[in-house]
Amino acid sequence: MSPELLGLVLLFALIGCIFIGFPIAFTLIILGLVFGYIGFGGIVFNLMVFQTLGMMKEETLAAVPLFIFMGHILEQAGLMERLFKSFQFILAPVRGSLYLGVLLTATIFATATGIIGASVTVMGLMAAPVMIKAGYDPKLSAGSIAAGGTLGILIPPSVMLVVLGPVLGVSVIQLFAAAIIPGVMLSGLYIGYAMLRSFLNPRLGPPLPLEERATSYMQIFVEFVSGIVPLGAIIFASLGSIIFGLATPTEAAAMGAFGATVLTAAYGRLTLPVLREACFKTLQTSSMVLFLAVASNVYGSVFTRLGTGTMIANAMLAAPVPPLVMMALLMGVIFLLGWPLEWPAIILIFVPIFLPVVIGLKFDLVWFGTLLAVNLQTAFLSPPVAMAAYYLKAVVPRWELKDIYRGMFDFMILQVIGLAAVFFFPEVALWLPSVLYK
Amino acid sequence: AGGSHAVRPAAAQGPITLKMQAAWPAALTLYDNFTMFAERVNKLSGGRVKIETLPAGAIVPPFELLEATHKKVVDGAHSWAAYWVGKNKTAVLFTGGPGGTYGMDFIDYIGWMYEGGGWELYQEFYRDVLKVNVIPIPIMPAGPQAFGWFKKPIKNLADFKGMKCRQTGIAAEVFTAMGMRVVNMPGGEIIPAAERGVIDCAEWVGGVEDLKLGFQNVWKYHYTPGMHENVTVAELIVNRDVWNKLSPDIQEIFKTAATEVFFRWWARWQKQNADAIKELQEKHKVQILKTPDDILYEFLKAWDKIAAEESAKNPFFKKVLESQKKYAGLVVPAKRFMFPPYEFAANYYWPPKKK
Amino acid sequence: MQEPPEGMLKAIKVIDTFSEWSGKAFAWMIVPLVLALTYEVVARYGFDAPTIWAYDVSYMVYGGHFMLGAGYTLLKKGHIRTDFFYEAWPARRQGWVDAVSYLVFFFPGLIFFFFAGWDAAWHSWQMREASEVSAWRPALYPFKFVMPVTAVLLLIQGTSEFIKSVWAAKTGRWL
Ligand code: NA
Ligand code: NA
Repeated sequence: MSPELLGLVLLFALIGCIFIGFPIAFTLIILGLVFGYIGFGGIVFNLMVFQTLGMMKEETLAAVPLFIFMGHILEQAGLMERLFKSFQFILAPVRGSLYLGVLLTATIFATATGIIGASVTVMGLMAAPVMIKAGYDPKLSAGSIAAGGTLGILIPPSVMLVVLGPVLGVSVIQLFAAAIIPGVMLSGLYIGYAMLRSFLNPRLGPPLPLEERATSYMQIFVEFVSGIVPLGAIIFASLGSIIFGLATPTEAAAMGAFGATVLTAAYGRLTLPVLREACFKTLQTSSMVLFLAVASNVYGSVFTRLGTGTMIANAMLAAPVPPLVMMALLMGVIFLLGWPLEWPAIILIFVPIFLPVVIGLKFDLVWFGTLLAVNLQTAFLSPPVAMAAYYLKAVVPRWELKDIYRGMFDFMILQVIGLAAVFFFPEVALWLPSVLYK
Repeated sequence: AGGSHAVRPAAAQGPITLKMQAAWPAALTLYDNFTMFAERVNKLSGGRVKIETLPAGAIVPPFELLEATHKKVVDGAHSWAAYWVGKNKTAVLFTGGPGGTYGMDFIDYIGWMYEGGGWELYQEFYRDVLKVNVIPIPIMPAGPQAFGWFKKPIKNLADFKGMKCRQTGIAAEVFTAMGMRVVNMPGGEIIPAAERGVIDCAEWVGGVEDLKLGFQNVWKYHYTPGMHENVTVAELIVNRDVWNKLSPDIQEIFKTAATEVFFRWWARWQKQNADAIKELQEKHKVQILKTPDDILYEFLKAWDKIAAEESAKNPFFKKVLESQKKYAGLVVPAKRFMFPPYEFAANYYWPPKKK
Repeated sequence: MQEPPEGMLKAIKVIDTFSEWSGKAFAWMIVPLVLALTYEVVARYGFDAPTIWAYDVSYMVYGGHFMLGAGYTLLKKGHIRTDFFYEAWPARRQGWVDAVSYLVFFFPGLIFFFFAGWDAAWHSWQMREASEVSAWRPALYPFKFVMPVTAVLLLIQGTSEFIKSVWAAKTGRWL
């Protein structure tokens, strides 16, 4: 068998083995080793070491644990609660005000955090009880919280974009800039949809009971200021230090983490158990993502050394398909992969396989990265592996998983509309980076 | 014809394919030297050897190329010895070193390599000091490199000292010793960092390479030359087992092709650089300026100090440095008499424009 | 109902406690990472004096952090798996799949990972390798030893997980 064909068998072996359900990272390592050994002998062990070291030295990725840590610390500061309360008070007379409050809070919070767990969990804990009490529709409520929460991973800062940058060989800063408008646009789509539904059917979002409303304008003002001002400081520390040129993305992540810690301390909420918990959770999440990155690189480099990547890319490039159709097909494949898989696996295992095709067709990599990001954000909402649903179910046991899924489904359609917008109007992604970075 | 089959069985079994990886991405002109070499070897060997050229990171990360060649993960690499200074600082001397070491230019460096005992030291360094199973061959004169790009003009050392510059490797070490502010960051972040003002200056390569990276869109002051990489030679390294399996004529073809592309690529590159300088000045309104002498002198002084310190604790570094000094001591002063200064006829025919 | 043997429970407990504590120790590495990089930015703008050490410190701490935490993450069931089908299986089948996967995928892969990583780290130690990326040039070999240590931590925790999955395969109950 030619090395290229062996690599193709390796790809199918992986797809088969992934579904056995054993942790993917270990499956990737052994498959890479076995096929590499058959293909080119004992040097595969050294290849594994070089790939591991390369990942360990990838300074850009140090932003991953830092943004995760920042997210976990911020969760404790109680800022989201304040922000949501103030929106709840301000918007109380509006139909479907809680959907609006959830989505606005999630959007603003997304510019401060780089992960989704925190957003969905906190919103679930704090908004869901109010929604249930006010007689809100569980499906639309769950969908709003889950979808709003996933904005955290698209709107910068974003752990997903940090991981994607080195894979595409594109500056993380450029990806951050490109994701801002699509993120805000999606948020707008969510809000528009939720408001339209509430307008058409007032029973979906009845007005708030009086005890859930503010007693005075002063109370609204205090809640809003105490919610938005400190959050603004955090956003300035992390995103601001990137945009105003104070720091690299990694340094900005550290600044954000530091700022979040100081702020939490200022609120008197930084206890030793809080800090400890944040450290432990951070270790677990970053180890999961980054050890998987190591394993994917081991697997991927065997694939490359066998020449299969080049073979697949050449075959796809030779296919009589217009470039835009090819891109649409790639996006379709990634969308489908998002159902069973999580984003780290897709970015780290499959994107490198498609990348030569994208480069061969001369697509803008920042645009491709943005399409990917919007597409993968959907993966959080698509069952059966839909992290957003799991986080939500964990904190709102009253809502049935099938209702949560059903609610998220509508928002997935909005995701597809958003994806199409970036696809057909690349300026949505590329305009901001072109203005900011010529 | 039958006889030659007996001598070179490989010829009968189809071409030998070697996988080699560069330390740079395919978009760089440095990579052209690599593909040019692969092409020449293929032609000179009558198609018996095919070198598959791969860009940085295709199989291993660039900094792992020496170990990767040693372990035969790749058959060879197109790289730069100064990447191995972490293993032993002597490595930088096999690029020519800062200041060209003792005033040598590229020709003198090649002279030292082939007439002054450099080749033997080069092989000894990899084999016995680094203990890696590779054959190094000089292949690409990637210089003289520019001093760098600046946010604002620099008139003297003091101006330069106040800036935050992206520098790596031995240059970073020398600049740090000169009291400068050195910032490190991954290559892909340089331009975005420059745009946002994270750094005030950066060193890359110069000429066409800098144009390709896009410095001209951020900064308008380009200073040249530098002393940190005025002579800087990149290498081809081949795994020694792979090398030993090549028939003697193929080994000679490798050496010959390396020396050939050294000059052919260099000549072409100077033309590309000249075009780039013109484009930078005329189209992008970049100020291309001479680096102030005092900065360059200070650089040499700082480097000499670092080299002396290293000599004191690293016997092999001392051995190579002394060998270079001996050769330079003979050739450099002699050439000063024999060679007319480049400016002499250049200024006569192309007088520099008065400001 | 079958009770697990005393010795087995003890072995699991010892291993799990070890991984728990190792993870909890390594988890604190995030703190110096935050502080080092924050200091770098403050020093660069506040005192106009960037450090020469922050770059090396940041990748070394980051690399050590996620690698050394891999064993702890295994204990916490943090490494992602595609539980598409797995989730719905009875414990007995899950146990079988895991037990076989540990034997066929996990142990061989990580034993190779250990030896290859050890080889690289040892080579680095022999030449007292230093970092090549900045002027600071700290020793690089401790960083390379992170690879074999990570493999050992994973192999230790993997042993406990393997025992648990064998038990599940046998009895249909997860410990
Ligand atoms: Na975000
Ligand atoms: Na999914």
